[in-house]
Amino acid sequence: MKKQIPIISFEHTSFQYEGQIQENLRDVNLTIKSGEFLVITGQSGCGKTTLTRCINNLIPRFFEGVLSGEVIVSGRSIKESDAGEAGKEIASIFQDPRSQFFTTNSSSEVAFACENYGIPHEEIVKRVDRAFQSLDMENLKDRDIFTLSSGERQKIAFLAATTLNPQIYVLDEPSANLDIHAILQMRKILSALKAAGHTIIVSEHRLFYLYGLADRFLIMKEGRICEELTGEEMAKLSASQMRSRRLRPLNLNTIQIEKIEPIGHSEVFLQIKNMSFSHKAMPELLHSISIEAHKGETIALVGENGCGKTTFGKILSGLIRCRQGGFFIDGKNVKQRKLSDYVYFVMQEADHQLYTDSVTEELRLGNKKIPGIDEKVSRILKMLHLENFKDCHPYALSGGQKQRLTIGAAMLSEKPIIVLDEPTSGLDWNNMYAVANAVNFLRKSGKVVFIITHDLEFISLTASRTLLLKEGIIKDDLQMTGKSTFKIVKDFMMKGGE
Amino acid sequence: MQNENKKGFQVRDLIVTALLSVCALVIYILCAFLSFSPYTMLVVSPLWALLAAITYFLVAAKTKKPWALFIFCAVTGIYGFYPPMIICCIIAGIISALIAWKTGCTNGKTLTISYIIYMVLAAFSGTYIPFLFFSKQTLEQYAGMFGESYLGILQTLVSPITAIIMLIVVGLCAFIGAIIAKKLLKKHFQKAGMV
Amino acid sequence: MRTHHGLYYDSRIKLLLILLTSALAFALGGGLTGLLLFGVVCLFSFLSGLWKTSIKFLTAYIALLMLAQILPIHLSSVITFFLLRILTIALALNILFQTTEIAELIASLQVSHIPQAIVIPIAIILRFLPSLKQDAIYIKQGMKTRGVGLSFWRVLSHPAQTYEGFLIPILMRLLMTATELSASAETRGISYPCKKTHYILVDFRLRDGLLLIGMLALFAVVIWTSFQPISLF
Repeated sequence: MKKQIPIISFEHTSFQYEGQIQENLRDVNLTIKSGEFLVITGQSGCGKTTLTRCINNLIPRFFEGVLSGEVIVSGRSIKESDAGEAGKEIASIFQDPRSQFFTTNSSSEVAFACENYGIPHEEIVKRVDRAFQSLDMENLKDRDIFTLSSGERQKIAFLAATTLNPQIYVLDEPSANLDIHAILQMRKILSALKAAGHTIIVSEHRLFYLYGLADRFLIMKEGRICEELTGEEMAKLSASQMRSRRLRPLNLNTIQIEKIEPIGHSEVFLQIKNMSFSHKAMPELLHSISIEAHKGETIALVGENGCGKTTFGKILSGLIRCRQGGFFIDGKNVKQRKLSDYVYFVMQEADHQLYTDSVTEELRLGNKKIPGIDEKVSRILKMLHLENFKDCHPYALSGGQKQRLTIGAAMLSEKPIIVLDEPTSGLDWNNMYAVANAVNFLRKSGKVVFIITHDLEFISLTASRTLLLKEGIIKDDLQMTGKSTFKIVKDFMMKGGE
Repeated sequence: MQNENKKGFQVRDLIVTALLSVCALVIYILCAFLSFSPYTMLVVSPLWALLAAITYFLVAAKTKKPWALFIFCAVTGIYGFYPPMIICCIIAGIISALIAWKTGCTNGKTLTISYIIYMVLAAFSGTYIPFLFFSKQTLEQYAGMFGESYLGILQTLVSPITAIIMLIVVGLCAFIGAIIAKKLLKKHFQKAGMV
Repeated sequence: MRTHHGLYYDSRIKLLLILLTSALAFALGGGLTGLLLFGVVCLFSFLSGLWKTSIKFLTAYIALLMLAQILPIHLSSVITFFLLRILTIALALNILFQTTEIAELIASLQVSHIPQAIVIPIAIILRFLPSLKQDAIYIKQGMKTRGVGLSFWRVLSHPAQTYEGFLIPILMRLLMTATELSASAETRGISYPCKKTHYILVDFRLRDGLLLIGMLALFAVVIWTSFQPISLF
């Protein structure tokens, strides 16, 4: 019985990062059997990433700190090994494929690990070919990684991991930047790896793609494992039980749509006429899109990665120019270069939108002329639960806090239209919920809000209307009035719009 | 800023250094847009010295390794793709690493000195060698082509005195850049806990 | 992805081409010598299959040369003194960047016993220049939407603020990227102590040798002409 052999064991493991005041792992005891599929979940900062870093041996050499207790991986203590040594048997896949690639060509990237471990040339070529074949991705071979979508890049990361045929796969939030369709494709790869008998450990917020795949779930809190459930037990939890544990849903079917009603402004506030866009020498990305929007609406924009959602948002915000299109706000024709006076754009990566040295300053930036600004700043800090951090440096905040801060800046701005680009990617339930509340506040204060998102739960909490984008046109324009429209949106997202 | 020189070679320090040198290079490329004429070209090196200081100081603050400073200088030289510049930057790198090794990677004063040396050497090799030492031939050609009056203008531009004055200006800008860099380091990177 | 269909040759020859070109472009005089130097680089660019790029550069070179004949002295000297030379070097750089995979360059440098400490930074610049450009564009857009955009007037009236606001996010992201990238590289054995092997095979073949000799001979001719009293213009 191969399945019974423990391959990883934690014995009273505690870890504290250098320069931190609190322990990140506290007295963790855990045994992982060979061939097991384990999911670790919990709030941001609960220690799940730290746990994965122990397994792939980045702790204690790469991420330094105080390690006590013992961690044995494949019969060896992590204190006596390092990430390079462990990498022969443990493959690691991280959150952002953009920064985990070392080369710019997909085949070279897949070969990278083999080269580092000195595998002979002929063997590398064989393994790279086999990897692309086995997962049926030969169309991704020898491609420039800058031309790949984030879903395709994540697939390359998987291929790169398989070439050494490692026993253990460690994944740290692999779904964070993917659309639902791409995530479901990743699920297929995971399921194949599981069938081949590999041990898989996933640290994750978004759980739906692990439904029916994971053998065991660990829920962590403040550095401890506070609950352990088998896959079946987890599947039996009701929506409210998941919510009380602050977890994202395991089954997308359990998401209930909230009643989001537009705030009865009847006259059209924003009108876009025949907007078309294409990148230089590329086929047209957006074909003659026309929409109308009212104040007090939250309009969700959904569609696969690379379908032009972000481009749409940026054109509307006056950040990118489009070839043709008319824009009317409050009945007046607005020129493209003036659009940025009316529309505020919240970027997907909060890091691109933080420029000062404290949270308070960040909110005041560009808004100093607004009367009563100090009072407004403190009100928003309170609403976003950031008042304890008001003097902190923005880059010292966690991902969720940063995201809330950029939304705070949008709330202060007096522009009537706000576009948010994937505001919940990589956020845990609490942060997602806080962002949803902020978006609802914006809507109620009479703004027109656009949300570009892959997050079905977030849509259920905020959207009053959804636009389905596919092949450059709006396939469907739905008022989110009930279960039936919500189901259309869900099916569209899961099938990638087919 | 503890744990100075704790460990030897780590790939992470190398990658930090490499990425920061990419950033220094990008700043250089942006400054180099000013070289559309011989007059504005004189501004390129001083401006670079002023703006790129933060990258040099971040290398020291983040890695705390003298060899990282050597790599930074050498690699920025290599990106110049110009043999005299490569040699001068490697020399500057050796000097920087020696100074940092003697006095520590967190010593603001000595870092300032090594940064000034590095910038002056880089400017000397990257801008003034091609336009000072090798321009004689070109100038003679111009004299034949355009007459003596124009030669006068060009000669003042590429004369040794101009070169020396410009190198002093580069040094001054590097000094001011270093002060700004130290301010930014404290205001942002230390406050955010990044270094 | 290789989209060009030219002669495939060792990337070290391309590196040498750049170094020789940049050294000679300013060391030698302009005029006929400059034209010949450009000719050599252009020849290699055609050999590498960069038809479009070569023609673009060639047209630009000729147009500028013509322009220099009719413009007043001050402007034409800018062209002959700078632009033509910079154009020559830029074309040489283009050959390397457009036809060489990073992995190939790494492999050829490692085979030539260049230390890892130099090879890795060179690989990283090729990998991250495009990403950095992307980041810069996003930050610029972010500043615009915040009402502190990089307009010409704002840069002039608030230079310090602009510099700080623009550079801090870039550097912060850079430091985060450094940690993520090196973690990923570590788990894939970048510092594993063994002899590195290569997916893309580089060996210096006879063809490369002949090409190298041809290139050096051409450069010798260029240098020789610069000492001759012939002047085209």
